[in-house]
Amino acid sequence: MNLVIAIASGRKQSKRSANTVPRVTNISVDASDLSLLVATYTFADTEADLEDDVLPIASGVSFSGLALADGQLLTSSYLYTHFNGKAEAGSTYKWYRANDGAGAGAAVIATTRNYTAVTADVGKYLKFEVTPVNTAGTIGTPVASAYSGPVSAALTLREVYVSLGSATSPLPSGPAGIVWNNLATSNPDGSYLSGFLVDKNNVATGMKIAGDLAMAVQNLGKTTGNNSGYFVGQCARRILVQPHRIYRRCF
Amino acid sequence: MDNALAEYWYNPTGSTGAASERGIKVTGQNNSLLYNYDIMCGVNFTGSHSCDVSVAGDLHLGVNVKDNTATPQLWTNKAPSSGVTTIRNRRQVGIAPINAIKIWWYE
Repeated sequence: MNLVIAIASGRKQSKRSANTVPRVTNISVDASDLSLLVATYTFADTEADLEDDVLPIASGVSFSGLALADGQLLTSSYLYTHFNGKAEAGSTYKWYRANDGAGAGAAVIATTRNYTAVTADVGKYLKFEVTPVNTAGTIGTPVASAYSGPVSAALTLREVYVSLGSATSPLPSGPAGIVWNNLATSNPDGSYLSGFLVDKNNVATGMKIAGDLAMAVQNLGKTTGNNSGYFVGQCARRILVQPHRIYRRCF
Repeated sequence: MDNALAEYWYNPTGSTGAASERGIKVTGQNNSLLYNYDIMCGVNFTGSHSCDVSVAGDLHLGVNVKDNTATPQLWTNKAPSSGVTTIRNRRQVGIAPINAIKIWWYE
């Protein structure tokens, strides 16, 4: 890139790029007219120069959770990049709460990577902002997600346990005192459609389980004797190690 | 006698069964909610048993679920389509049946 600089009254004038360390070479000055010195030089700043510590960049900024509701953990996500390959170190975060999706009345409510929504967020809108920083301490431009909302009131966790084992097989192990949906008994006529499923507290859910009739074949094998599964966290687990084999078992 | 739904989950060998997958549908779900699934496979028979299951097209591979020693596989944040989520058990050598499903969500 060639630039011509007019320097009035013989004063020197420096030229800086928007980038940190541009390179200037091939400087020459045309002094044929002393009333107007014309400087010519080559300016190079391709941003591929390792001496030039370009700004780190955050992109794809967003956050998500099981639901945008009181009590729910919201996990942020973004992609950090740096042209010269400097790793990320010390990026900073802000969570904003606003009265609407346009950001009216916005205020910073947290500076953590993730955030758990609280009662004060109900009916409000949230957004996440990251300011990327690299190992050299170079600070990039803050980038934020869009506002999401409104935040809902606290949600109810519902759990449905379904056994697909045979009528003669025991139910899988699970938490004490829960209600199971046992398809062996809820579908006694083999109609490929269960009754309505209930949750673990025996409250109706409106859900059913239906066999895929497009693939229905009567002459399939039986699950007899197979039904003794366990769900994570519902029994004590022990790691057993044998030659060439490591496995876990409930006791 | 075992009921028909239970029989979906075991594909013995050979020509039994018309397709490479067995499937069920969970119906009556709320399209505005996201559902999570824990699926437990396991058999007591000898040999190697795989349990390759997809939930809403998201395939997880389970190997050697014999004697119910495998950890249940987990799917999170699955959105139903028109109130329906399809669960399929892909046919493999020694395919294992699904013993139980836990479905959980917030509403």
